[in-house]
Amino acid sequence: MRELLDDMALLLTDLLQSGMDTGGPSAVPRLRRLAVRCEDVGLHTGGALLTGLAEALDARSHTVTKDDLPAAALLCRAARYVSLCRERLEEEDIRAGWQSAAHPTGEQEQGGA
Amino acid sequence: MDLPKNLAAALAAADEGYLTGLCNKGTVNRAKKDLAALPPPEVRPEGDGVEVRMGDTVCLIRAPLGESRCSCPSSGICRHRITAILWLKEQAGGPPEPEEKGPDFGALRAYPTEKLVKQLGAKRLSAVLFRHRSGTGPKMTERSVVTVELPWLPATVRLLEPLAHSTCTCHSRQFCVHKAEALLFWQLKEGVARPEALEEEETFGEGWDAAQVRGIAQSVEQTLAAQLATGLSRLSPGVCETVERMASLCHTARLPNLERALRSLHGEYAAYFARSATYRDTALLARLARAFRLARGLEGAGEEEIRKLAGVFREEYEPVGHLRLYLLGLRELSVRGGYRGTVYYFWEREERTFYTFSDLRPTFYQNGEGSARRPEAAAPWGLPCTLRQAWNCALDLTGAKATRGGNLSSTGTCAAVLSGRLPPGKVFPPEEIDTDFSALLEKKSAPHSPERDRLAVIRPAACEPQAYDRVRQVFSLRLLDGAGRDLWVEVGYKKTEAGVVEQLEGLARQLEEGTVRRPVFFGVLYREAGRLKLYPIEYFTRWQEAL
Repeated sequence: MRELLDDMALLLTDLLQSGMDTGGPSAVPRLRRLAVRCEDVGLHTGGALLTGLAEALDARSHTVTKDDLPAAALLCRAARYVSLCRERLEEEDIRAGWQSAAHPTGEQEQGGA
Repeated sequence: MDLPKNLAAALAAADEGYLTGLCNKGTVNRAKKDLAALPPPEVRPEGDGVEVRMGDTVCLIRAPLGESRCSCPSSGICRHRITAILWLKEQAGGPPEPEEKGPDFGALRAYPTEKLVKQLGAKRLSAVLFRHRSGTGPKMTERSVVTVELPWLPATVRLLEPLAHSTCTCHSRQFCVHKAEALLFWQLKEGVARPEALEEEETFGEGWDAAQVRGIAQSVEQTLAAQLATGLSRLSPGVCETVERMASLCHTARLPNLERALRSLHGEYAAYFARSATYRDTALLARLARAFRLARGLEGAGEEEIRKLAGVFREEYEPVGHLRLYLLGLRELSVRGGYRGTVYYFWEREERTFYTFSDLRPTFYQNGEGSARRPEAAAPWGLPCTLRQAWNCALDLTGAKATRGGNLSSTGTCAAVLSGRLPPGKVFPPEEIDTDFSALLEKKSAPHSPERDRLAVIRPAACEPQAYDRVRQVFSLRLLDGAGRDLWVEVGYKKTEAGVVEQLEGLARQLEEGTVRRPVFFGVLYREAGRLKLYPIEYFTRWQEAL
């Protein structure tokens, strides 16, 4: 799931850099693929957001007079969603680290410089 | 003597306290002397009152007594009027029987509380509520008038019926703010005003123009959406000015939360265009998203929602009474945006909570941080020494003021009495020392929570010094609790942190040599990279022993 969140963050920051005008159309297939991965791991809200963003970017690319607001709103919500998921994962990672330190499974222990 | 009915009743009800309330004690005393020397005046009925002629002075006494008139130039209730009233009281049938039951002050009860709140404003209302909650309100006595002593102003108000005739030691003829404050205290005491309802009002204050807020919110959304459409790689540095301009608009429209969000975004854009090594796309996107979402929320908000989303410009300092503090630690700070200085951390021994005092000075007027003049050390509240010298000392503050976030004011009305230096273990309760890191993770490390909520005093079961990380340039110390859970003390090496790193390296040596076993740490908790971490403000190797 961490990898999925990293990929989502990367896609959103790529969109930030390239812009919805230029990078929007090429981001649509990536968004759809990530949305499927989100559904597979149970991140249904994330999947819905990415699907919505893909549709908004797709619809936007076929219009002459572009309405930036719907796609921008979804992009911002998706960014916030990724941030919240990471915060939640952080807490779980900390507990998992404590758990594995308490019951090492033969893998290298976490911690140490 | 036949007097009009209203006037007779008013005269019977007016005792010395009431007459004092109409003017002041000195005038009443003078009137009594004048009465003793007065030859019998000429009296004749005049409308609904009585005309009393005393020598060259003619008074028209009517009910309510405060509306009586006199031929002398005095605009207030003069001694002639009081003399005439006292004489008429004598003529009406001697001194009245003292009433078993005082007046019910219907006019005071009926005065709309909302008008008082509006007249006082948010700051005074906060102070009133605090004093009412803490039982440090005014002294109030009730006879024929309600006398309210407000020593912190200072003012003494006499509330009487009709309310327009109430007096205040500020001599205002109008319904001054002292009278409003006195009346609100009385209404709170009588249960006419409810503190809960006023507490809601306290956080809201003046309203907003919903159309103006909607317009600004839409403008912010459209501007940010246009920036997202263009893409960061194609934006010109002029975008910084655009965002700054929008922040100024928000400031004028009293939308401080959105203003702060936009100024944060401005900071990130500035870092991007300056090619700062600390710039991150994720940080800029997060700040842009926050500003956009806030604007979107404001766009569709009703008045109550606007109140919640708008925020406050600066937390007000409110009176917090008497504080029994202990200076546990201090920290040198350099804040992005051009401020540098020291934050002092106090433990309040009765409330069992932390307070801070920030001594930060701007550096942006000087030629870069390196050439900043060393600021004078803070010595607030009449302390006989600097705060730095008062480290690990107990001090009592009277008349203290603090924000709701626990930041103390350096107000001159607050006085400190310094006690001697004490080891922290003699002051800090043992049950407040954290030893369970799982509880710390749950209760004191939530991301984005205020620093005050993430302060902790920790006694680990074991400490494991780590090798200095030359790649990340970070000093680390691994702390373990009794169940083997770890917490990392980490300090990244920077010029401003050199002293901290040096001290921690000294601690690490002592731990390795075995001269120190279980130090106590005081710091700020946070989560990062899958670890629970602590930024250390202080550590103590002799927690219980005298220093």
